[in-house]
Amino acid sequence: MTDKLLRVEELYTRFDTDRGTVHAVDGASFTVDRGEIVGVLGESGSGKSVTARSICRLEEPGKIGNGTIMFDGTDLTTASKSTLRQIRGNEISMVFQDPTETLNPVFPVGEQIAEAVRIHEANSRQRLLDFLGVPLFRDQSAWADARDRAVELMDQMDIPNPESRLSAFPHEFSGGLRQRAVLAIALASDPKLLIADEPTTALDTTTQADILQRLRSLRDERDVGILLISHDLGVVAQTCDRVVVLYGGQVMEAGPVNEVLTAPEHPYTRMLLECSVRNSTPGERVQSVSGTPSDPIGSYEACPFADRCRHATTACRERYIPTTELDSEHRLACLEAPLPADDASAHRQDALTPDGGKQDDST
Amino acid sequence: MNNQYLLKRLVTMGIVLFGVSLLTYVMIFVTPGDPARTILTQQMGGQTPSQEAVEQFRVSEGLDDPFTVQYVRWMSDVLQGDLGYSYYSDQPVTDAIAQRLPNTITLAVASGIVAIAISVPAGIASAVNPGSRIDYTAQFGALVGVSMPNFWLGYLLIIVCSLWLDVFPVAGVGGLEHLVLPAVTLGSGMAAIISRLVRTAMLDVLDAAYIRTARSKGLREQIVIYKHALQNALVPVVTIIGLQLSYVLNGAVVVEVVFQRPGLGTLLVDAIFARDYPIVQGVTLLIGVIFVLTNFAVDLTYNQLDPRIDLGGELM
Repeated sequence: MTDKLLRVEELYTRFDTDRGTVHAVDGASFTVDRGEIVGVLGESGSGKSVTARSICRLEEPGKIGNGTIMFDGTDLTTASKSTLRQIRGNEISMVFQDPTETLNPVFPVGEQIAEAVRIHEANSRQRLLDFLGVPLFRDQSAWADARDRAVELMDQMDIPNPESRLSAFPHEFSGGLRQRAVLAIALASDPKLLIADEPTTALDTTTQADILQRLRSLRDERDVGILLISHDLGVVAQTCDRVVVLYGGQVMEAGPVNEVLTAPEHPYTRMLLECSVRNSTPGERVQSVSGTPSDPIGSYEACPFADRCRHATTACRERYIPTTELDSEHRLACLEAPLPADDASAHRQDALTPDGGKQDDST
Repeated sequence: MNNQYLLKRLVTMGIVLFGVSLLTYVMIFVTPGDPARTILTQQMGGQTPSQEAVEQFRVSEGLDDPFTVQYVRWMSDVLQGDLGYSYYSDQPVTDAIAQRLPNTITLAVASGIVAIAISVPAGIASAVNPGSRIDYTAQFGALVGVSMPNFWLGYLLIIVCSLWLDVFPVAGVGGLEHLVLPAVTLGSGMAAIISRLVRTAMLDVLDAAYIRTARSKGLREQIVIYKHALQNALVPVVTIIGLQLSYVLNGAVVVEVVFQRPGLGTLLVDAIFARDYPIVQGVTLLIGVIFVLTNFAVDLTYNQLDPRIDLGGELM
């Protein structure tokens, strides 16, 4: 148990706003191991992205209040800035949502990849004038090597004509190419953990499938642990080994994808599944979730989902909900579980198999 | 960038400069006061010139021709590099300008350097620590800088630095020591405006996703700010610096008078008081040309700073 690559325990991240404190992450715990893809599933505002950023310690302007983030033996919540900087990008890489926004528009793509390469060179201090490219201060040969490596990385990511694209700017790339370039940056250092925050949301379906395939091969070939943040059930089902369902910054349900997404025990997970367009039979009206996630001002002393839950009782609104373990892998936070099977009807059962995914539906 | 764009810009610039020259000429033309009478009075040492002499002067200087004739004559001379002669000294206007221009350019460049050297670091420091003591200090300084009139700051600096501390000369031109006080006077006002703009632009940029990417790569914060953020924030800043040139030229008039620097500003002021129209026209036209050219240069840097800005001229 102790050798998990990433172990997030009882993590609290809050934002102090004028209207009060927003508890974006409210005691979330989960783990990611080498060579596995863990999905973090939830609606907008459920705390997914803040969780991802907290792990990289890029949570500002939020503050981590409590909890530990153990990464490969280092507690990131207490690590020094220089340790963090070395881990960031070196051992943990991030891929963010919109590749249009995540690449710097004023520098060539090749330079941005080469930069990532140079950052991770052993025993090289990052000198400002060198990185600014001031003549005489720029280490020409090191940058030439880094550019060669960038071409290699672009080639690995199947970016066509990498040499000629080295000097192209992000706006000259298509969305899919940009996200591949972002992946190239993330992989420049051979990271142990990759945090992908909605990496495919801004992409069309074909490109999405391509990027997800790349994530899977990273897991299989390089033994990278991947934390995949998504609001898309299909993406999670296709790609992930385990899934953590987040709501109001709390873990509602967590477990292997084929258990959680085929036989969900938590009413919130069930509701998400019902809403999935892919899970509806043709002609059937797609369900929508009533209400919106409550604004988590003030920490929950109750189930955050209670107000939208059709099984909620007074007890759900009155006290802290303990986590119960169904088995060693599958856990959930619900007082009413196990739920009656009323809303998991037969046609949803089989439709739960994600399109194009590898899981079979015999379960 | 391409030739078509350049051509388009050159044509537009030609039209703008034509407008500038026309306005300059009209303004002088409609200004009350009869130059012939004024000049003759001066030449005769205060005596009222005879009507005959005035008429004669008008004919010889072409002052009785219709406006269009006078304008076309002036313009065709200008295009040949002849801005006419000063009414008083008979010195060619081009010579008078050539004598003074270097001093003004030196002042403009020096005050620009002062302004950028103060404002960019101050603006960045503010933006990186918004709401901090540094931020408030910088913003307060900017407010003071904007509110302080040039002539007042100029005299204040003369009193403190020249008279009390005796570090810099009071006035005149010469070496670097003569340049420091005028450049600080002129530059600090500019710095105030630029630093506020740098702050706003940087605050905007520091929130961008690509800054998060840069940090997540493990880049040093200094490089994140001075490389990844600053270049994105520069487009509006460079625009303002370009526009501030008009401020420098306006300010130069005041600052050159305060510090007794012979420059375009003092030349213009003296010429206006003396109704020396050829000089006024020449200087105004030159300032217009400088202004238009600077803005052109600023536009050309956009594409260098941000490759997404297409300078147009043809369809992509």
